Amino acid sequence: MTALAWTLARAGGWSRMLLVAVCTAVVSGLLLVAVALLLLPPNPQELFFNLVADPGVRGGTAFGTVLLTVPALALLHQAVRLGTAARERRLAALRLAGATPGQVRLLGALEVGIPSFAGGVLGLAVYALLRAAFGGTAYGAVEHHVYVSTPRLRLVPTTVTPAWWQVALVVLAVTLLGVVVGSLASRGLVVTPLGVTRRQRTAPPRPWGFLLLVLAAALAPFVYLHQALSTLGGMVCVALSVLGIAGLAPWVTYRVGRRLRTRARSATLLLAAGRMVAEPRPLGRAAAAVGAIGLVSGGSSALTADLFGTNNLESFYLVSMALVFSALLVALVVVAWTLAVHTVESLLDRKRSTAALVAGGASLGELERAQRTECALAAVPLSVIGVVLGTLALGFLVTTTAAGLAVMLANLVVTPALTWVAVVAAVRLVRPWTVRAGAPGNLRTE
Amino acid sequence: MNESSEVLLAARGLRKAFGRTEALRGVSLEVAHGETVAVTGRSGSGKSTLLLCLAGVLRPEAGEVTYGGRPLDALSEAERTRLRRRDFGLVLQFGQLVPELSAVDNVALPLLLDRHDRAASRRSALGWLERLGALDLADATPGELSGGEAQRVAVARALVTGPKVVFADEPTGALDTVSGEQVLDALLSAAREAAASVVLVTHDNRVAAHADREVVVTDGRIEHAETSAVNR
Repeated sequence: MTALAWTLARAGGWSRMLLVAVCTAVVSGLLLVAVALLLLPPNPQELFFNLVADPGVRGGTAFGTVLLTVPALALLHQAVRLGTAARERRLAALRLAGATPGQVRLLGALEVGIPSFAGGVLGLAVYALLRAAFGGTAYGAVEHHVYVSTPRLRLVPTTVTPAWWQVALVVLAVTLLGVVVGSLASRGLVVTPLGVTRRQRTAPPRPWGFLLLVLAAALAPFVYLHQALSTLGGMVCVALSVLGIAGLAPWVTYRVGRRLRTRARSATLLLAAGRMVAEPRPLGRAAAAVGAIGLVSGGSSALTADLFGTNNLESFYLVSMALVFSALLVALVVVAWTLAVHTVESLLDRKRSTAALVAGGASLGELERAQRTECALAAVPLSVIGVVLGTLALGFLVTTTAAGLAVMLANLVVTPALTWVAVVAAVRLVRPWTVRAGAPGNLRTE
Repeated sequence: MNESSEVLLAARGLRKAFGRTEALRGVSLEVAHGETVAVTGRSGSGKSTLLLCLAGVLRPEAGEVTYGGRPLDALSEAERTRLRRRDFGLVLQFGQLVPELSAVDNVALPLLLDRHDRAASRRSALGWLERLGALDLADATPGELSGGEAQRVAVARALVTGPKVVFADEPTGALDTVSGEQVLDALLSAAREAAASVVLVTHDNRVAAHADREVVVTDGRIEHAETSAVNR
């Protein structure tokens, strides 16, 4: 069965397998860094940047490292969906050849599980790379003046390393995560020997993410008032908010699409809104990380504003905030890739109707405008919601000056603007696939 | 088609290859104003390639296509796109509607692409759906339509801009006999009413019999041309 799954995985194309493996490798590498941070003793014999050196905030740094896996997981979800139409035909052919529904499910899981496992193992290399680039410096390893003067971000422990069983657990968890994401991507498929159908007219997405946001808002006052709860409680609140806003993404996509579909005055807006309503979940999930990025960005801008208010403009705080914003930029780059992969998948799924549109008089520019509008309408509102919520959540608690206020207000514009740039970049990346999808040869192909 | 002034669309010495396969080997054809020409031939004979070259979707490697006396090769990509949108209508074997849009929005799409007002585009689209007996399907999505219904919507989409030429590639190929007849009648009568020329690719002689003229393509060449039995 594994040999057959491997053959099927190769039939799906190396690019998809590679993308799945890269995503899981990044997730695995980041999780190993988080594990290493948690393994550090309270007073490690190693020179670190204060975010790691201070035991009070180290847990938060480990948590932030785990949060960085969210965009990579969103990309993994899109990577798994890549080539869905061809995969579905393969699965139908297997049913016709005599495979039971259970065997088809197992093959589907293994098809994603194999590259996920490979990625999980490759995560060790990612971990080693991060350790080499951002590793701490052990006391006594070099003279004091050398390691103090070396301008380097020391964030990853080098005096402690995850044990073999911890590494095995991470690899196993990442592999299972890949399999679960694969199962989610195939949810709603009915594979029969006669073909594969998607359950039509599934219920529109529900705004269940609101519940998590409300829960986070309800917990926040307790966390604020009880100092003992501040670290763990803060993490729980942030996790609930991130999951909540990510969970809202398909609903926001659907609602925005529905509202605009009836009001669309141009073909590009009509096409974009139509796609948002027809398939809000894949697009919403592709854009979900944008909400989380906005949330963290908003909260971080409030904390930065507080630095101005309390006149705490020390390099430690400024570098810490710069680090957070840099991580958010990296996450936004991953989001751009995720949206690009989503758009490629969408094009592969609609080659014939895209070719018909081109043959009927739609230009490449119009197709790209429709793609850009579709991605922007899903991502930018989420970014605005995230950044406003994040700013409001912490903005009320901080003391600030006019300069701090300006930082918060500027961030309310900059974060959605950067999201728009990510969307533009994603659609530009996809241009070769758009050109190929519009080729006349696709007029008569599946 | 006795006078050259009547010629609306002409192909001269068209050659087109896909890899080592020569799909067209020097095809010439003329289509007059308001004329319906059936292009028949076996699968793989090159008839669809000829249609796509005539419609300006494919560029031939040799020879030229002229529309209203103007070579399509002289047009930029943007001009060809506009030409296809305004002067040509295209009906394909499986309808190829945009799956996410309702029937009426699919029909209105070419007008919207041409920057027409949404309300006016919808009115026009509804008018065409009514003429083709498909008004009750206006709000249905392509996934909810039968093959015949989807083809009626595709015909409405091809005609909504008031094209001078309608290109139909096996428009009844995926339909049963009754549905096929209905779609063909709807297409040809609407095109005749609008005085549009029709280039109809089919492998079905019964379909070809509805045309004014039939040309047979064999191995990338026009074997012979004749006036259709029903129109002789």
